[in-house]
Amino acid sequence: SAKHCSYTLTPPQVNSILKANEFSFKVPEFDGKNLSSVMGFDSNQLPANAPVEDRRSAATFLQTRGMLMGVFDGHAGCACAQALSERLFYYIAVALLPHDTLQELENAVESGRMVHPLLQWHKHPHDYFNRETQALYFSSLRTFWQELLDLGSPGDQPSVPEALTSAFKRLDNDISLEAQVGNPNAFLHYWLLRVAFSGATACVAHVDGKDLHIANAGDCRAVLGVQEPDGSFSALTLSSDHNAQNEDEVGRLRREHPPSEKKTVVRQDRLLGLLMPFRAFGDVKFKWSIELQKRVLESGPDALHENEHTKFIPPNYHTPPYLTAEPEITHHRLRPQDRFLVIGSDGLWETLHRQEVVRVVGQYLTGVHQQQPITVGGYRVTLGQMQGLLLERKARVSSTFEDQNSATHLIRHAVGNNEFGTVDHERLSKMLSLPEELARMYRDDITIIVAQFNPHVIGGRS
Amino acid sequence: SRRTGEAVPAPLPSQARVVICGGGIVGTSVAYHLAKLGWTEVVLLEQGRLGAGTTRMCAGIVSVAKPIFIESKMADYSNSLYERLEEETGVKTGYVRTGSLCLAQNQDRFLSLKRLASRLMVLGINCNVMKPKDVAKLHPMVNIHDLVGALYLPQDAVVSPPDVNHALAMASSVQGVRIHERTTVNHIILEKGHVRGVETDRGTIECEFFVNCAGQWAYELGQASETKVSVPLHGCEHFYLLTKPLQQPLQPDVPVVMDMDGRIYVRTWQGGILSGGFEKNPKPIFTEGRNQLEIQNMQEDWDHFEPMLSALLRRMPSLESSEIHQLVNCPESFTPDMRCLMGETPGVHGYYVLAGMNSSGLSFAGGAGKYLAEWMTYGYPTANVWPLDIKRFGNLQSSRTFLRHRVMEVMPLLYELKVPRWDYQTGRQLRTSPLYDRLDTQGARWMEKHGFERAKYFIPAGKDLLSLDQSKTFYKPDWFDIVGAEVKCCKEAVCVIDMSSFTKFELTSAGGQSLELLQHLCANDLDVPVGHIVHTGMLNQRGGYENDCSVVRLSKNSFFIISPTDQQVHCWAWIKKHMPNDPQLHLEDVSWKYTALNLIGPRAMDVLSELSYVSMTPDHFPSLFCNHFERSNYRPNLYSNKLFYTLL
Repeated sequence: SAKHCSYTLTPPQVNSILKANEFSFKVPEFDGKNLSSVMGFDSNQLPANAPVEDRRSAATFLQTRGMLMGVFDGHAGCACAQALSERLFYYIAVALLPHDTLQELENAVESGRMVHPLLQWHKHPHDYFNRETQALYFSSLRTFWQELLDLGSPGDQPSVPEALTSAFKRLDNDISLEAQVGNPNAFLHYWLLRVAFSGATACVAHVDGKDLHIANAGDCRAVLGVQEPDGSFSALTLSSDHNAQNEDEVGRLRREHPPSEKKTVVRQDRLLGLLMPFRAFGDVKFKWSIELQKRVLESGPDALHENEHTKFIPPNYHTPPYLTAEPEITHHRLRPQDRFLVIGSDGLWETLHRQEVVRVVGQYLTGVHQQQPITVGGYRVTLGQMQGLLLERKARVSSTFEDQNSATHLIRHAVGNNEFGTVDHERLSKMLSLPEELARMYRDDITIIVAQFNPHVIGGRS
Repeated sequence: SRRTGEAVPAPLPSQARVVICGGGIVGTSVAYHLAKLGWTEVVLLEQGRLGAGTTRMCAGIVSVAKPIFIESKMADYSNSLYERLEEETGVKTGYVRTGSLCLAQNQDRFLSLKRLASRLMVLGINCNVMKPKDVAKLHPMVNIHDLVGALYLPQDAVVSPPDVNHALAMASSVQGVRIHERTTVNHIILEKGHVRGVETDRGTIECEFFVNCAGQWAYELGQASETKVSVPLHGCEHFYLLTKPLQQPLQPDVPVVMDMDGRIYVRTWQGGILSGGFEKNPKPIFTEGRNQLEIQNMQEDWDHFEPMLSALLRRMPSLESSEIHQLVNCPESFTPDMRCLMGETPGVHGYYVLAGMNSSGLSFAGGAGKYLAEWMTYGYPTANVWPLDIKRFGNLQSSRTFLRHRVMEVMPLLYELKVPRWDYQTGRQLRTSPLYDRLDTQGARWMEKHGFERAKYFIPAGKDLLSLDQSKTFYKPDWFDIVGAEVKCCKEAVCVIDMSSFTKFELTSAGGQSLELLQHLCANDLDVPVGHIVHTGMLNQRGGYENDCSVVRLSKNSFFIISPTDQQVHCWAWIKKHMPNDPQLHLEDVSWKYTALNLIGPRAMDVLSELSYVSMTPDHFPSLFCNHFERSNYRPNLYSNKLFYTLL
């Protein structure tokens, strides 16, 4: 592989790799009408796994014109993350709908009338939906809203935190149930099991007017970029990571299981010594009883038996479930100084500190590249030396203008940053030319959504 | 606030004839020349120390290489003034007659330098057009390989600006001008449109004349009176570099180099060099208005200076090894059209302005100070300063937003080629005709006059628009044939020209006062039958033209006056100045009330007769006659003037 390493990509090749998955959406405005607190977002994805296990989704909730954005970091395959990217926002939308609107929806479906779409998706062409599963997914979703109708009463207006929590838990439950029930169609049956046995963490932002809600389960993270009075940017983290670094989470796990498991429930900073995130969708290996797992696997398609990973039962597995998809909800009232929100999978946060992320995005969005100004002071500097220095700085600044997408720009920094916090082309080129089997050793999948807020809307008085 | 140990400042006088605000080179020059012309009771006020503003920091080059005649003339006078100042006052001014070299990297630039040379010859200023190899003989460090030619101006000089400032102040105070430092002017007191005094932080001074020479702060000072005075200028940061002495120090009389294509100038400075320039991307400053302290604390910006540093090292490669002493940030004030602002303000008698030097304050201060002093003394300066008259601007050109945008265009232009008929691109569409959109969709290319958009010509179908927009040339421009065809159409058929931009006034009175006033102001007899049009000029006491106009007698005692677009402020001020204070005499600016269409050509009458039921034969509608049409009930005021100009 020395051969591989000596191979360097040219800047256009680097750009084509970085830009392959970039996507931008601008909220349309008409003469100051339809003003949204979100001006738009940039998103991008850089795979390290083949195929990529991260997913992203963004949609406008047409009922309120609120914006939903989410990053889903899959593990043990991409099936669960894929399912979340297709289904979770529908669950949230249904949970957010007032009782009366839900009733109208049910009546329309019942009588076979046309149903108004709930969501307007903003998707990159690579963000696909599985056609085969749509009918099944819809039927589960309808059951969900029928239950909501039964439990609620006319005039009910669900709160956002409750809706987010119930959507997360309900979808995870449906994933679990669908896998248990199975399906006469062998392909679908296999797919449902893959979804349930793989896992995914999720971080979803819901922005409606000045209210920003984050629902997080796992180790994706949402960070707010706040502009200080002096023009610089500081980071405000709006979600907590559910992993071993979070003492509250470790405490929660130990409380939920008998004292005898105190030492085994978290080992080597992992859940049961195996799983990094402490909350996730799917991952029924950490949720179902051993009997259930065995029964489902035995009745499952043969393809499943070849997968050692699925059959393996975690050690010290005594009191399942060990894992939950219940999200932690954060509410933030947007202020005029809140400029943008970065939602990223852990692949981003382990390469760049959140403060650095916010600095890079902030400078990109404001177009100001606050390089430290040069002062000569008492040093002896010749005109030639100064010119060399200035030309080098100029070249550095112009590289940032290559990106039309702030998420791409962030990935460029995440992968190519040198010790001075500037992009080193050589390093970037080497990282991107790593062969598939090596890439995962140096970096994780990176998925980023950067949403920009409209200061005129969130700064307004209403 | 006085620090201990410092002398108690002299008390302010309670009365003066003239108060000048601003102790920079411009203010002291005005004081100096007023004193020379015999004025007494002249008081000069400075909020900090003398020359503490831009004067303290400016580069100190006095050059006659200026784009218009009057500017070269002012610079020439300044040069001779500064030269004799040392002898006159005994103050060392650092005056060295270095001469200067204007370099041309291309033929167009060389042509513009030759044009400058021919202008300077009219003024009797010595200059030589020369080949690149002659440049090398005059300046040892200049790289001549990419040069086409140069213009050598042997009389140009360098000085130490604060010392010239000091010398002018000395000479003024010897002649009785009282100078007070650390005195801030807060407010100008007006009474019935006349200056009555100034309020300072140290008391009030009654005066008849006030001169605003506040430089960067002239705009804000203009706002500090009951009737606000528009001083359209805006600050921009300006950078220059100082090096430590070179290993082989340059002679102090080595010529100044102006490499306009490289956007830089270079002079010697204490054995090293001083080099600055006018970049493409200037940094406007003080948009919000700031205090004096800000100017002491300007930041260097090396990244911004890089293009100029690179241009300098290209022009003088041997400088590469010389050491940096300092990068100086010296704010300069710029105006919307690259010319300084001079003269009496239109609304207030006795309120004069001299500011907005566009980075040539030192070159202009001597001459401009002299002309302003003459203006205040005799009513007219001895030279034609028409292009500098502050009355060329209206209030529309005084918004901070407009100025901020415009100066960003103006500053780079200082070193760009100035071809004829060039239009500013920023701060456009301040005023438009109601027909603007219709003309625009028909391919109109626009020019701006006094903020008003006027169609220059119409692009015929199939023309390459891009090349037209870029046709900056001294030779035959691309639009020439288009305009030719339009002129032909006017002469041989019929054309409609939108003349809505023209200035229109209505002068009415109860009795014969309006006629009396116009008879006094205008050269031709205006006692004509109602409906007649008189084309005439408004003359001054010396028989010079103040305004060119057509006057329509609408009724016995009311007149409609049509003047050129850019005369709106000047003509208004001129009439107002000579108007008796009579409540029955009324002047109104009705420019915005009427749209004017000029129907021109031999078939004009045919078109007009189609539009009106009234007969249009020469009997019914003779030449130089005005008819009032009631064409339809929703357009009550439609005047039709029949006016024939002779095109020379």
